[in-house]
Amino acid sequence: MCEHLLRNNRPVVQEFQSEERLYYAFNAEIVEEEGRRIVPADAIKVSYCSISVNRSQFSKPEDLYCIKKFVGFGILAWKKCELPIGELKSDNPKAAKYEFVLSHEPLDDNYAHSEFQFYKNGTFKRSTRLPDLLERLKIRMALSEIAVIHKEPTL
Amino acid sequence: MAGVALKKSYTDMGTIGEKKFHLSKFRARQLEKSNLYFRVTESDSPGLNVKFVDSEFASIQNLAEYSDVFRKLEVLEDDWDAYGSEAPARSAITNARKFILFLGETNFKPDRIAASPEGGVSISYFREKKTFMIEILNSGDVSGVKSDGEGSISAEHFIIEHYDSVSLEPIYQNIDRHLWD
Repeated sequence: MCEHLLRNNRPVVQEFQSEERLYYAFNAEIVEEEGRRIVPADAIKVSYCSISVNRSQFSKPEDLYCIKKFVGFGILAWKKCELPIGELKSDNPKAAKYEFVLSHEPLDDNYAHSEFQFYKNGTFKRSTRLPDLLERLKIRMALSEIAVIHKEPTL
Repeated sequence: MAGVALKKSYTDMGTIGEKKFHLSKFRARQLEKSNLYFRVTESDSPGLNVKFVDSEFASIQNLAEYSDVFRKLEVLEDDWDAYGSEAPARSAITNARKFILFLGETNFKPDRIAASPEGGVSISYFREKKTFMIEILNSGDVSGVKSDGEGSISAEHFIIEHYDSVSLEPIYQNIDRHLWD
């Protein structure tokens, strides 16, 4: 069922179309407020210097369920052209500079795998935590506001 | 002593029970600006004791309304989001309850209480495009992030030594200004 996701020596493709979607699995209830469906910022985990997503050029949203731990989760989608790519704004001039990068990072069993990567002062270290809690909060809020709900969780 | 909550017009609002609730000066100031409710209790001495109770009344309702949410938070396990997040600690849940009890005014009823992926409890308020989210973390840290929904997002740490009116008043004012100004 998920064989189409296998990489099979396909190349890395770093070009993303502006309308391309990035899919993210989440486990949180959606809020309805004044007729508006809100993606809460607590639905998005920003902890490490990268966030895993699947890109629409090589997958469908429900392909996230090929990853067993995501079965029953909801799916959010971001449009590439709406992502805050580039240097992230900060109110604190002394704070480290963070840059938001979108990168295709295919895995052997998931060719569509891509990442939102956060470069700190020009350096990217995948396995390190984003050290500043306030930056993490702001990134979560920013991403929640531009996310579109593709599917609500059924858990 | 029997307790009865009465509106300013002395319309009966129902019994709120025997329990007495402390009313801080800060609450009293809030009530002066708000739609006033009183609590009238019979006393051994002649006459009635009249106290403002609007906030406490709303707070009790809030806690009751969110009891299911808190019960769910209490039984969450680590990695509840499949991204490795810690479950909310007992201390974070207790502090979140206190936070809601204090900010029980009608206008400050939270729109959402949920587990935070940072490890802790997340409390969100939404009004039109605006959002204010407080995170009460397992570490004891408390942070807030607010957005006007038009691209302006800022975050700050809050110092809370005790969950009382003195420590929580700045947060209350911050939420108030952001959502209603």
